[in-house]
Amino acid sequence: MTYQLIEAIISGITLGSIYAVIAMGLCLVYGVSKIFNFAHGTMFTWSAYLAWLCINQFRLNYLITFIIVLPVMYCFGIALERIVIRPLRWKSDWQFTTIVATLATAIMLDNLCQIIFNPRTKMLPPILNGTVKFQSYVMSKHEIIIFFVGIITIIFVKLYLSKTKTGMAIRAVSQDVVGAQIIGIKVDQLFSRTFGISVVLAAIAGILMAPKFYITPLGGWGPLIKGFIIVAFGGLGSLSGTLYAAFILGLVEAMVSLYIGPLWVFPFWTLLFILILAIRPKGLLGSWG
Amino acid sequence: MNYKILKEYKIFISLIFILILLVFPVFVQDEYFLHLLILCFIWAAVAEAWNLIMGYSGIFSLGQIAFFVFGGYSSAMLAKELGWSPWLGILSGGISASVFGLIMAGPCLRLKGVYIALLTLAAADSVPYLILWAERFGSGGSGGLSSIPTLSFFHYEYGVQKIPYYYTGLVISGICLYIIYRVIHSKIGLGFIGFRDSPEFAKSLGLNDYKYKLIVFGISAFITGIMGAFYAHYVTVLSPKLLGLDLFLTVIMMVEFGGTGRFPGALLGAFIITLLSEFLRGFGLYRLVILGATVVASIIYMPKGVIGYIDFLDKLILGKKK
Repeated sequence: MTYQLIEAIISGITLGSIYAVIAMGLCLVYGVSKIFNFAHGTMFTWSAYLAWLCINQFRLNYLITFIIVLPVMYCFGIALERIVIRPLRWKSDWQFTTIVATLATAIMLDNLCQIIFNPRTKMLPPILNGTVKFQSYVMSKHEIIIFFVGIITIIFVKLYLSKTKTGMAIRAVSQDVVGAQIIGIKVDQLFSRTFGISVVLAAIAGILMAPKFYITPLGGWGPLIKGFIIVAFGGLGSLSGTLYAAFILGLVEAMVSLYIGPLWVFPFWTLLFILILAIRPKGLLGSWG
Repeated sequence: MNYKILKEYKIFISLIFILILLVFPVFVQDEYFLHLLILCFIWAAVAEAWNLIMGYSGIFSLGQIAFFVFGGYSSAMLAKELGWSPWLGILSGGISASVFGLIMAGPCLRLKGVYIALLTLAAADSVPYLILWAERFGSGGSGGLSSIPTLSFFHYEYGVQKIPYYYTGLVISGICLYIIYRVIHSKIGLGFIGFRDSPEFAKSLGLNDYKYKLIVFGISAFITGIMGAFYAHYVTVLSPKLLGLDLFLTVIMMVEFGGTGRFPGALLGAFIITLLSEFLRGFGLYRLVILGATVVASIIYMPKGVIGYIDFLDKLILGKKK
């Protein structure tokens, strides 16, 4: 009983750390540009496929794969921002048009993925094989790595935002775009950089998740919707809210799959989401109106 | 002065359009083409209902397909399990969809902008689970519902014939579109626009924003549900796959392509996109890639949609600013 519970808590925290990485990317982009990127899940899928290409076809190891895939995805993100989002940004109705445009881009890229890599599911080997035994608890090494990489990424992003110049500029723009422009921050450039960073975060999560779940061309939609719920649950644009929300919802997911069944995870999330919005319409720690 | 007549040229064109649609099956009996037009009728009303909530009221509801599926399922289940007449089923499909819409609107009342989009999207994504759960009531589960009863009119069975469906679809869709048109040009419609453009101002004039939000969700879900029920009895097959991205994107594209927040916009978009999508079926897997690219390009280069070009034409013909 308690044994199962502790195992569920551990898996919940692991899930939470990976959800946090996905949601942080969305949160950053939303905070800076107030745009909801529906192509985030597609970036997740594409990076998993690129990793598959590196590992299964070119026989590289994970470290080199990360070194290759992350910069490629960064450029991909910047290109996406330049081509699809920038022309729409300063026009009227941009909130609606960017949603539709990123949605359409996502569907286009997903289907392209299906054509290039064919729709059969693909599998990646775990980063480290085997399990770790601690007293009577058994954990796979891969899950431990997921947890640590997730936590390191979170700390790294937090430091990046608070210590570096670009990070501070990102925070400035998310508080006040016009003010940031007045003091000479190049907003357009910053938007695309943030987009690139968010795609890199999606890529990290995508590569880490790939050995745990199968890679399919439409596999990014689940994480995307979950990421959205996390971001809105925590309060749009609030990074710490997103982190709390990720861990809370990760634990909820583990508990629900343990006691009720994995099929019920998503309805439960929705219910919780509706509840939190009924109590706090701006999410857990949201401040933006 | 024939200037006044010229000014009303759009009404003439629409009348001619309706007349052509009315006599169309007399001249063309190609089943495939009639099928396409029936789909056009269905999507025209669905897209226009979406336009009502998104374009006119400025509420980012992304759950419209859930209303569609809800209406279809409830009508089909009533007809199959309880033996109700499909006509009654279509009406109750609309009613149950609008009940679902009102339930969805409840938590949306206090929310704004993107939160509503996310909430409705999450709610719509929960509907497949609901369908799986309702298998014990005859929803067919993940396999979907098949052999849904077809329509009949005073002992005249429609069966697989296209022409009766064509006229029924034309009438139902026409009524729905007329309702939407009347709503838009009524006081309520003005209220919707007011809340879209300046919620604070509308509130300060004494309009109740909760009431207007509930009304727009109710109407839009009702019409979408009715079309869903008609779709169910026409195609006779339903499955949770309808809630996938394919349909969602297609319909949102109709709204965007036609022009948001303008009345005949989504209608035109529905006709164009349905025909284009069928035309692209020959491209197989590339279809969605091409459609997606078309949407992105149309948003970037044609921000006002097809209706924008009609305005341009208007200016050209009438020679004055609108």
